[in-house]
Amino acid sequence: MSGTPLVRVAALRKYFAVKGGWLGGRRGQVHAVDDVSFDVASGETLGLVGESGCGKSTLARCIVRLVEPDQGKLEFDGEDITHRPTRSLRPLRRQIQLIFQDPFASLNPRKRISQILGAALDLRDASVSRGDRQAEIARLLERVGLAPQFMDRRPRELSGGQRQRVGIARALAVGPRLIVADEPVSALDVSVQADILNLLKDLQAELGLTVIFISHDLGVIRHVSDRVGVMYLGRLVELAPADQFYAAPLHPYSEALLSAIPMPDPDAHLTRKEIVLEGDIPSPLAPPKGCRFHTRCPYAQALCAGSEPKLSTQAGGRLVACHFPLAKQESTGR
Amino acid sequence: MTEISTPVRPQSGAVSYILRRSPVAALLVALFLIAALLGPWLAPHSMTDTNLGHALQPPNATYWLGTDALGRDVLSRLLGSAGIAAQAFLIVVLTGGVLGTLFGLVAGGIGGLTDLVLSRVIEILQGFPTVLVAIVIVALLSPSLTNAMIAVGLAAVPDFARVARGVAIQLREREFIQAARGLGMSEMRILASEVLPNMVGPLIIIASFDGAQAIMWEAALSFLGLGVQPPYPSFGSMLREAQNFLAIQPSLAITVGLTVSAIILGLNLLGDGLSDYYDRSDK
Repeated sequence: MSGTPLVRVAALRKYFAVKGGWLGGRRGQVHAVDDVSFDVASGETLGLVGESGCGKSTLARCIVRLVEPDQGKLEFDGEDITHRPTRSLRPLRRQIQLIFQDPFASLNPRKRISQILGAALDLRDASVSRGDRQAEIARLLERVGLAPQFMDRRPRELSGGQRQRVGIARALAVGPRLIVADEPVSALDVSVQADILNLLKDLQAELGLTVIFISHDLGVIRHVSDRVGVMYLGRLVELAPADQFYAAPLHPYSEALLSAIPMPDPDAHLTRKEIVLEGDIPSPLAPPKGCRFHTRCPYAQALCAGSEPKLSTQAGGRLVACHFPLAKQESTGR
Repeated sequence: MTEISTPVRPQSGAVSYILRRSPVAALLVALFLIAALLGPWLAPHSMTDTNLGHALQPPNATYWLGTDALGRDVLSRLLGSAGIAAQAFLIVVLTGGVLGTLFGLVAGGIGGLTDLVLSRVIEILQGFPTVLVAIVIVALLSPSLTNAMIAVGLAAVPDFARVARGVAIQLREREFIQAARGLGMSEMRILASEVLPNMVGPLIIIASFDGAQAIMWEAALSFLGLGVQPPYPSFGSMLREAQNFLAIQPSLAITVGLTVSAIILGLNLLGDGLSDYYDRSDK
């Protein structure tokens, strides 16, 4: 791996005030992203998983700076962009692009595909003639697997998968180095998901993109990621190379998530350990004291309720935030 | 791998939707437009020349809708009034629509303190009594259609502003707006090229209702002698003149009243039809 990472997230926090009651007074804070740190090397794909409400999307929006983090540091290519004002952020926007979850909401319903992509191309270079622009739009569409005829269509005339391809084409139009994909396939039919995932993988290889891929689906993450990060209630609880992670998770929460992946083999449940978590995810308004997972953790001990474990390095350079990380031999038989 | 098959959902345009769903609105509005645009050429007689020998005639072969107290052809004068009503419509919708949309777009699109201040300005405007303001403006300047209608147009600003602001706020957090922001578009450009096109439908609906109101206010002000001045025709002044002859020739007032009612009914039905159309096509 080369020297500086493309993205460095250090102790990043984003809390949302919950207003209500008398005169819009503050009622509390949602700890959406709480002290999250990681690096992403150039050309790498980092997969982030977690249940809904764990802060994945907020983290994504912080990284692309649609949301300003409260505390911590966000570096892109060695530059601190944590609190950079919107105006001077603009040139940088082209290098960091977000792909949205809902392809039905992420395209302006009143515009043709050519207008949507043309506007993005104009932001990169406005001095291109009409004919060249058309050719460029056609090239973009082809790159994401759509025929040039799609130019004249409107979003409502496209299927979910086709819309997501347009969303990807729009992100590529400005020539980004980093793509943050926020649940890019979870709104799509299963049959289309694989197409979109393969497209993203191909594009990454072809263009040398760095990708932060966010999903709640470990199967999807496995398909695309070099490294996997697991989030729980705003915290990063485990970060490991994908193959090691899937072979032997260290955090009890990771283990529970992995055991919930459906297996094609109907007899699989006989051999593998199944862990069903009890209860709901606690409210991010008031995360539990001590380890945030201790209320649902099957291995919780007295220490877990009292002190919160820090993310610390384990054997093999893996990171886990747990007082009692699972030893390799004990873990699931996968 | 190129995807070719697409589910194409054909969308009928607004015009064909209205023709199918509310033909009455289409007919009334079409008649109004023809009268307003081609009135001077369609009029069988002069709108202003008096002929006391033919005063207060009932409808007949020469004068299809009869004549007024000064012997002027009622049909011709109605055609002229339609042109005036159309001018009232245009002035009000342009004044109210441009200012209101701008206010609402900026207030809703930028939010925060800007929204707070602009919203209060809009509320103040809304508090003004339309007729009084119109009367004051006309009294200060001079009685003319344009002045009266600009006053009415200012009173329509809050309607447009409220709708534009509502749509802008609703769109501000939508993902395609975030995508535009993420691409590095400036906030002003986002408002103009991403938000504004999504407002057109609701704004056209407001325009058809407020435009109908404008025609009514024009008639009311001209009835009071504050709008179009004699001898030129307008619905209001025709009604005022007809008032003196209600007992002798009631058809005079009835004809004019029915014409105004029909135009306003047509515009309101059009507004309803359009709002159905946009409710459906936005899904």
